[in-house]
Parts: sequence; C-alpha cells; structure tokens
Amino acid sequence: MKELTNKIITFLVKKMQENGYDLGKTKLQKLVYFMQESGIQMGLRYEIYHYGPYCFDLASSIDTLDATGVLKVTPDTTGYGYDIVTGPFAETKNLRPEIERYGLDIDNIIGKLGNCSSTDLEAMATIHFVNKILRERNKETMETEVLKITRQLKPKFSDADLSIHLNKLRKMDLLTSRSS
Amino acid sequence: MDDWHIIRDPIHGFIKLSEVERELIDSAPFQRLRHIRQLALTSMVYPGAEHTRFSHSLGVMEMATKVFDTLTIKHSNLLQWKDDERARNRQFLRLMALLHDVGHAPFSHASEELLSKGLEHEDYTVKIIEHQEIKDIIDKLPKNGIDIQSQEVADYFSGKSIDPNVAFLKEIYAGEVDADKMDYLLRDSLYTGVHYGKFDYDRLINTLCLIPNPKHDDGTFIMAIEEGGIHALEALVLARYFMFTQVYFHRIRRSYDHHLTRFLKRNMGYYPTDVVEFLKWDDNTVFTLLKKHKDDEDAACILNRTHYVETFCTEEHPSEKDIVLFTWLTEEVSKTFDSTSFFADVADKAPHKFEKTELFVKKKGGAKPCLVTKVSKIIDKLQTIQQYRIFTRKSDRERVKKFCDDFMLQKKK
Repeated sequence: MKELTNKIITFLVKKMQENGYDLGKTKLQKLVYFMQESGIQMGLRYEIYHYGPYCFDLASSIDTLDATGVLKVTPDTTGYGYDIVTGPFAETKNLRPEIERYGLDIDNIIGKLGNCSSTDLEAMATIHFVNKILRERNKETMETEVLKITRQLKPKFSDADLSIHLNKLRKMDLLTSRSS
Repeated sequence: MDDWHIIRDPIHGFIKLSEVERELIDSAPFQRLRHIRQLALTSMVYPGAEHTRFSHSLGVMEMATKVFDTLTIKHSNLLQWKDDERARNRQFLRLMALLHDVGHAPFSHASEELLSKGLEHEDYTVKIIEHQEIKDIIDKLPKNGIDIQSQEVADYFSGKSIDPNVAFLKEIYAGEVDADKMDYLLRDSLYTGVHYGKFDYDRLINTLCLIPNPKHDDGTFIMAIEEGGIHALEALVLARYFMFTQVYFHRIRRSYDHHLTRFLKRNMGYYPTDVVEFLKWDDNTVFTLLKKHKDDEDAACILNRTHYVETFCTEEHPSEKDIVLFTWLTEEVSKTFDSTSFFADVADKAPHKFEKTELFVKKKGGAKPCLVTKVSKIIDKLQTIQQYRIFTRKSDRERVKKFCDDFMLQKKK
C-alpha cells in the first residue's frame, strides 16, 4: 500500500507540474485526501489538524520521497510553506503500470481541484470531512450543521465563503465519498 | 484534584492521578500494558530495555500535562478559555495520552504486521475504549462535573473527532515536539543506557508557545518555540536522530523483529479482530507460544539468541538509486539462495520513522516567525534514516556477503 501511495504522490506531483499548477504540502495533503475519497484506496488515515484533514503517514512519505531524491521539497517564497516538484530520481519509479487503473480518477481530481489555492482546498476538504462524519453519525445531516461545525473548526472562513465552497463541491460531484 | 493518587516514575518523579484515572489504570486492558515491552526484543542488545508501554503511557500523560499547563498559563488571554473549558480540555488530553497505546499488539510495533488486514493499533485502541470496562469508567466523568463521553475519546483515536480543540490537543501529544516523543526518548535512553536520548526537556517545554497562525491571519494559533529554546529543540532532534541510529534501527534489534514476525506468521497467523480475544495477547502469551514451538527456527533464534546476522547494508541515507539497486540485489539473492535462509530489512516498513521537524520559531523583538529549518542549520540538514539490510544465517554469512559485494561492485561500475 505504501509503495502504491508513493507512486501516486509522485505521479500527482509530475502531473501538477505538467499542468503548470503550484503545489505545496497543504495542497498535496488535500489533493490526496480527495483522491482517496473519490475511491483510490490508499489506506491513509486522515484526521482534523491545523489546516483541515491531515494524514501524518502521508507527511512522512513526502519526507522520505524528498530524502531519496524522488521529490524536491524546498521552502517557498513566503518562508512559511514549501514548493514540491519532482526530484532527480522520480524517473527511476516506474509509475504508469501500477497506477494505470487510477489514471482517470487522478486526472479527474487534478482537473477539478489542481488549480485551487491551498486555502480553498483547506475549506473544501474540511467541509467534506465534517459532512462525512456527520453522515456516518446521522444520515439526515443538514447542510447548516455541516457549515456550523466547519466554521467552528475554521473560523477564518465566513459563512458565505463556506457556502460557496460547499456548492462548488456539490457541482463537482465531490461532496460525498466513494471510498468504503 | 480533590482525591488524588501518586505513582513514582523514574523520569518524572511523582505522577499525580485522579480517581477516574486510577480506575482506568487499574482496568484489565491498561494493566495488560505491563506485559508489552516498549522496545520489543531490544533487550537482546541492551539488556536494560525491559520497560513497558505501561510506564510510558503514564509518562506521556504527565509530559502532555506539563506542556498543556505551560501553554495555557502563558497564553490564557489568547485562548480565552473559561475554567470549566480548560479543565475539560486538560482532562481530555490526559485521557488521550494515557490511553494512546492500549491497542498495541505484543512487543509493541514489532508484531504490528500481524494485526488483521487493514487494521492499525489505533483501531484496536478505539475498540478497547468502546468496550465495556474502559467505556464505563470514562462515562463517570460527567457525574464528576467534566463533560467528556467515552465516544468522544474513541472518535479522537479513530480520526473522526470534529471537536474545535482537537488540533491543539493533538499537537501537544503527537505533533512536532510532542509529549509522546519526549517521553519515549528519555525513557528509552534511561533503560537502554544509551545516553544520546537525553535533552533538556524542562527548558524545551518552558520555551514552547502559541503564535497566531503565520499562514493565515485569522485568529487561530499554532504551537511554536521561542528563539531562546532553539538549542533545547536541537538537542531533542539530535537525541532522536542518535536513538534511531543506535537503538531503533540497531541491526540486531531489526533482526529479532523479523524473527518474531516470521515466527508469528507461521504459528499464529493474525491477531484476533475481536477485542476480548485480542486482549488475551501480550508478550507473555507470545513467549509461551515460542516455547511451545521451540524447534521452529525463528523461535530457536529468539530463545537461544542465535539471530540472523547482517551481511549487507546500505548507507544510513541511501539515494533512490541505491534503493533501486537494493531491490534488484534482493531479487537476485532470492533467486540464488533458499528463501528461508535470509531476509531483507526494508526501512520503509520499519516501525519507527525519523521525519523532519517543522516547527515555527517565535522571533525576538516581534519579528515575523519563521520555520525552524531557517534558523537551525543542524535541523535543516538532518535527513530521514533509511537503512536497508540483508540478514542471513550465521553459517551462510560469508557466502551471501560475497554474493552481495560482487553484485554491487558489478552494478556500480
């Protein structure tokens, strides 16, 4: 599973680069989150952390891929975040065959979310996460409740902002999970 | 705490407990931790390493409380918590810290591979908390004026918590400079006798602080370190680095992890998913099984200390090219030698991970905070330890070693 996750991360970084999209750690965390939620089984455990759903194991994988030269992670211009691109050994990973079956799903997520800012992805992933948890607890989840709890977790976003993000997710058919 | 109890601990001195915490500690699932060694079979290398998850769990609770108290006293204006809110969050954190390891399999991480497919020790922690004994004790808290339900604690471990304070509490107990790390380094160092694990934790804790989130000016805050604490932080990071090289990734310790896993795969299969059955397993149960199957090769290796020996290893920081070569070498070794006569130790699958530290530094004089890697060259330069190895029977050592050396020489030309 770990090997597959590493290949998916590397493939995703490569694709983002090809599309000319910027990528940092927060954005990578959220894109992988949506990939998993759209059905790509990576067995990653996400939980709420400072910037929304976060996976500690994924953070560790990014470090490892950086250390082995598959990815290159460097501080960004703000000094508060990172830029992630493929490293000199990315080519040694034979990416295609194993992720062929997920190719369309990955392209789909990049197409829908690749150009979003990390802040927008933070809001969208948090809405998705809260919606998922509330649905697990109670099938009759009200949107107002989803937005209220998301706001408590992410006070920086206004109610109006969160509503817009929720609608975006619905339009993109990303509000509910396809993972089991 | 009106009614409190004390336990003497070699790291923290006296640890104070409330009545409910004492009941949790006295419960059967928690007492089981007395029989799960913190460092698996590391005592085969460092005979002192017989300490258990029991004392570590108490230590994490104490350490987490020290961090919580420091931060909440220092930043009471920023947090604006009412007394009952602070008391609730403090108790919630103590429960998280106390119970964080109850779901561990025998020999801690060493036999984690044998947890039923797709399950991790956190999943067993959730099952145990939801099970009657622990659940009933936690659910007494509301009667004592603390509004915590067992389900909320279980949700935290399953990653399903949507409590607004969860990120802050998680950071204290499992973040960049967390109570778990601080306790295991000090404890493992003490019991192994490997002094590298020591660092000035009093100074470190006292220089931890909260800062407005530098990425967003939005009223949220994250944990950081004051500039004056940088050297204490460097000491922790270096302590961890050296404990990895000297203890957690020690070649003989890794060899015994493999013997244990191979033995259990062959003679037990997977640990039960049923919580009552799972709780019957501890290090003693495994030792009984080892003795029952004393003629099994891996059991004999453990019981007689005749482990497989290292015949090939990469550098501590191999490049991706080295890793590809290692994978190739492993395939060639498996074609040439009997599959039971060797095992490959792949760092990615090792239970301990050495990650980069990404904490913010609160600069003096109101300057903008920055990442610690900008201020500390030592922390910036440290890399993930990723040693890959091949182990063989002692009798095959020379043959396999020659094969590996010849292969690497040829491929590196």
